[in-house]
Order: sequence, then C-alpha cells, then structure tokens
Amino acid sequence: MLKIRNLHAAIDGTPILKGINLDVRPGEVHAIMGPNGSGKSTLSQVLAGNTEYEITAGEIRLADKDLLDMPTEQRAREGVFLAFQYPVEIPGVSNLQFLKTALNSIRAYRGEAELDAATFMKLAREKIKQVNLDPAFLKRGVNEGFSGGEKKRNEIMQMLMLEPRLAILDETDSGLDIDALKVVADGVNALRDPQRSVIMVTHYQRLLDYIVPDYVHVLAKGKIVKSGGKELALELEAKGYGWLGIEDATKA
Amino acid sequence: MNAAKRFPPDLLTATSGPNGLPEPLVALKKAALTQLQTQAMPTRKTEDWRYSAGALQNLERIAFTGQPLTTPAADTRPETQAYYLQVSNGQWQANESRLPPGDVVSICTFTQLNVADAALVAASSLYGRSDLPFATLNTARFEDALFIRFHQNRHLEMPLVIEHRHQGDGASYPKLYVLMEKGAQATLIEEYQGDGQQASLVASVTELDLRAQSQLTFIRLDMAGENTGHAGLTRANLGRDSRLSAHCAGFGGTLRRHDFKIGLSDTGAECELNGVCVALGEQHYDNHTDIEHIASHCNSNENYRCIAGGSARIVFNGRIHIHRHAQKSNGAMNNRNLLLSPEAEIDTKPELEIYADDVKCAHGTTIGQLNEEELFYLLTRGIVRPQAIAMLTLGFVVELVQKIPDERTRALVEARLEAFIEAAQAH
Repeated sequence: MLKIRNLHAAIDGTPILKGINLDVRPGEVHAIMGPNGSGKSTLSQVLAGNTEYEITAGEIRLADKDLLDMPTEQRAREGVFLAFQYPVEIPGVSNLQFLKTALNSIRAYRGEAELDAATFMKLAREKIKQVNLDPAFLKRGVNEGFSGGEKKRNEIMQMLMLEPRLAILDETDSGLDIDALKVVADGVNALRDPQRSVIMVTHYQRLLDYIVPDYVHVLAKGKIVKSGGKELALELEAKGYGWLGIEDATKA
Repeated sequence: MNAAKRFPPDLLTATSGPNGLPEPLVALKKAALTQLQTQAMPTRKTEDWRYSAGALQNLERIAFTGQPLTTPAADTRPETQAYYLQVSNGQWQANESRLPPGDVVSICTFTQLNVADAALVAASSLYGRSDLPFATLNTARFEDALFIRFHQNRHLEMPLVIEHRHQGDGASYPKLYVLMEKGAQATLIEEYQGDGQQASLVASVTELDLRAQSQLTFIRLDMAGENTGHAGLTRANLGRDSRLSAHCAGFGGTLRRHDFKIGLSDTGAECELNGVCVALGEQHYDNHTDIEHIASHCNSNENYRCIAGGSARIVFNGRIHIHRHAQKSNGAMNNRNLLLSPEAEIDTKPELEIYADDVKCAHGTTIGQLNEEELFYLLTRGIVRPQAIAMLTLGFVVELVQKIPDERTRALVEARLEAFIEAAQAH
C-alpha cells in the first residue's frame, strides 16, 4: 500500500525528517509514536501533501504510484485521508456542502456516479450518528464553534464518509475524554478492512488499547529508531523513551 | 493649472421635465441645473472621489443617440411572492406593474403630488453638495419620479420590488421618495439592471423617510451589466423608534458608486446595514456609507464585505458621526475585504467622528487573501483547487447573503456571486 524510502523533509530550511523508511501493507495498522518534536506531525502533513514542507530527498509510493508527484487533492482522490491534529474552522462553508463536494469529487475520480441529495443526506446522518455528533452540526460551518473533541469526531466522520484506503490519524486521541476516545476508536475499527491501512500518529499508548496496531514504530529526531509489535507500545508506556536513548523534549 | 473639468455637456442639457410638476420641484430642478453647470467634476484631489476619479472618465465614452426604448423586460417573479414596479430608463412602466393594495400603499408620480408632499420632497432634497454631484444631476434631470407612501400602521405582506432597468446608451435618472408613515411595515427591493452593452449612466436617488415606529427592510441590488455606469444615492432618515434593515449587493462595472447616508434623527431609531460588493477584471465599485447618530439612544450596526479579483478596484469608506447630543449611542462597523489577485486593490477607510462622551462605537477592518490552511484542508478531502477556492470565496460573503430576507433575491445574488467567482478564476 505505502512505501516510504529515505524520506527527508524540511520546513523553512530546517530539516525535520531525516531518512524515514516505512512499509505499510494493505489491512495493516501502524502506530507511530515518539516525543514531541520528533517529526510525527510533519510525516502526516507530508503524506497529505502540505506544500509548506520541502521534500529534500526520498520517495513515497502509494500502491506503486509516485505520491510525491501528486497534488494534495489527487492524493485524497487516490484514497489518502489525513485526520488533522488541529482541524481548521471554515465559517461560511457548511459541513454539508463541504462533505457533499468532497464525496462527489472522490466518487467522480473513481468513476462512480454522484450521490443524489436524498441518498447523501441519509449517509451523512448515519455517519454522524456513528460518531455521536448532533446532526445539527451538518448545517454549521466546517468545524465552526466545535469543541476540540467535536472537531476530532468530525474528522472521523469525514473519514467514514470518504472511505479512504490509507487513513492517517494525527494525534486524533489527544485531548479526548475516554468516551470520545471510544467513539473515535469504534470509527476506525469499523473501517478496518483487508484492503485498508491505517497510520496512527500518537503521543500516548492509551489509544492503542482500543485500536490494536500490527506494528509500532518509534520516531525520534526525524528517524524511525525502533520498530516492533503492539507490545512495544506497552514497553514505552512503562519505561518512557529514555531507555531508547531519546530525550523527550517535553520533559527537558 | 489645468482648467477644471466639467461634466459632459449632454448630461447638462436643460430639459423641461415632466409637464405639471409642482412649483417647488420645478424651482428645485432649475437650481440644481444651475449649480451643476458651474460645478467641476471631482478629481483625485476631491477626497470623496479620490479612488474613483479614474472611473469617472468613463462618462466621456457615453453616446447620447436617444434610442427609443425596446420592449420592457418581463417580470419573472411569481405573483404570489411580490408586488412589482418597473422603471425603464427612469420612466415608470405602469402597465408592467403589479401594484400592492391601495389601502396599504399608494403610489404616484411627482407630477401628481399635492402641495404639501411636493414641499416635503423639495425640502429634503440633497443637491449642490460637491461630494454628491450625481445627486445634483439627478435632481436637475429627472424626468419622472415615484412617490411611494406606506400607510400608517399598515403592514405590506409581500415585498415590493422596483426594477430599474437601463437600456441602450445615454443616461437616466431614476428617483424615488419612500414615505413610511408612523408604524408602517414593509420590505422594499430595489433592483438596478441593465444589459451593459453600451456605455451609459444611471444617476439615481432614493429617499427613505421612516416616521416613528415604522420598520423598513430595504434590499438594493446593483447588478447591471458592466458598461452601464451607476452613481446612486440612497438616503434614509429615521424617526423615533423606527428601524431600517438594509442589505446591499453590488457588482462591479466601469463606474459604480453608491452613497448610503443614514440619519438616526430621533430617539430609539435603529439601523442594520449589510453590504456585499464584488468586482473583477478592470471593474470598479465605490461604497460610501455615512451613518449619523443625531439623537440619543440610537443603534447602528454595519457590516460590509468586499471581494476584488483581476485588477479591479473597490472602495469602502464608512463614516459614523456621533453628534454632541447623541448620548447612549451604540455604533458598530465592520468591513472585511478579500483580494483574489495581486493586482486587485481595495481601499478601506473607516471614519469615526464622535462628539458625545457616553457612547459605544467600535470598528474593525481587515484586508487579506484566502487562508492557505483552509484551502489545504479542502484539498486534503479531494476537492479540486478551483472549486476549493470558489467555496472559500463564496464562504467569505455568504453569511451576509444569507441575511437577505427574501428567498428569490437571495438566490439571485447567490447565482451572480457564483458567476463572479467563476469569471474571476477564468481571468
């Protein structure tokens, strides 16, 4: 599904990613953990196509296509979905209009017919219920006036609507109470499928109790310094990052 | 020193005006014409025309061939949704109109005014002011004008639409006096249309006279084609506890100017003023709003949003003047502007003049481009760039468009905005 080779990325001339290698096969769930400032969010943004980051070396392939060659919207149409750590508020563009445009745009790319208004509404209501948000939110501006937790649930709702084949969750768990965390986890688990892959970027082990990963990677100073199974997350939880020779910038 | 530039002579040709105009109005027309013949056109040095003096040169492109009017436009509004008056090149087309009930609204031309009403119109007429040369021109040259009286304590259930349509070249001078008697309630929609094929000028004046406790919702659509120039004055005078809710939508052209002057003349008067204004290509649009808090305990709330693309130029000049005795005034003005291209220009100038000490008066102004973070978010959901840009652009003004309290008008404005955004992207 996804192959990352020797990926280097910089922002404003400052190198952040310094040689990432990662293979994600269809159906797999990978967790990427690491202290603040390790490059976790940069990796998510680079995968989604944020042009503020400069790719200085390396390669990313999605199902054997050159991902770096695709503009942001085409990546989304090829099935890449990023659940943002801090989803932006867009007053003036309603959630409903936004979702409909996005879904139909992706459907058109896949050669599927546009959904008619009634079918779309039915789907949107069903999905918003699934993440436990008030359907009235559909009529509000995108994320407008949503609490932090509501924004995260809205990201998951969009993911359920768009059915990506590669979902990247950027710290979707941070700032969520336990009930919201379960809602998010249920959403992701509902999407799990032998043809879909998930990359979960997280600071904490907590989310992994609910979405059990196949692999856990530790990212530090722009490189993956250790990979393992789900037990690695528990080990990190118990021992912190120190035993890997990593300083946690937040504890410094 | 260059000789001061005069208005093109075709604009200043004396006309007798309609026969039988009441005497105070005949005198008024004569005085306005005399004034105009000695008045120079505004230049870049005229503060109120600083950013629009260039657009005034388009007046010289106007031919005056005196083409006859073609057939009037058909009214497309369903009968059950609005009353309708059509004014073509300043002339009321009574046959094309669908009149509201006579016990709620009476409508007559200025020639039919009684002495008292003629005196009222003459006394309130603004002319001769150097910042409003087109109001003077309108006064000097109007051929026919409408006096609309909304009767005391009556409520007009459906909106009254007045469609001003300019066809061909030359100039026309629509003039309207709206009297909202005590406690009257109505929605008035003024729509300026025109094919915009030939260079022409519409110099319009609309007076809104709101007596005590009356409530007027006023919608003004300035949407003629590009070459139909329009310099219009809307003037509202608000009596005790009256309320004006005004919504303006302006689309750019070769020459577009709207002066909106609101006087809060008696205690408890309140106005809301919303404006959306867009221009692209080489177009121009100049908004001058002026809210005078004359009496105490009055509220005003103004919101204008402008979008300029191409190398268009938009002006927003918003003045709030709180007079010395207007204590407990509450004024708020907000103007947000969006530039879609590096060559577009928006000049915004809030002017607050506050002479009372116990008032609240706030203003905020921003100019910016589309937000990159918002754009990225839409792109990550598979929405293509032109569509994402269109959604954000429309989103910038949609809040104000949604406040337009007439569904058909709202749809009309939305459709024009969508066409604008499409055209702005094609440039």
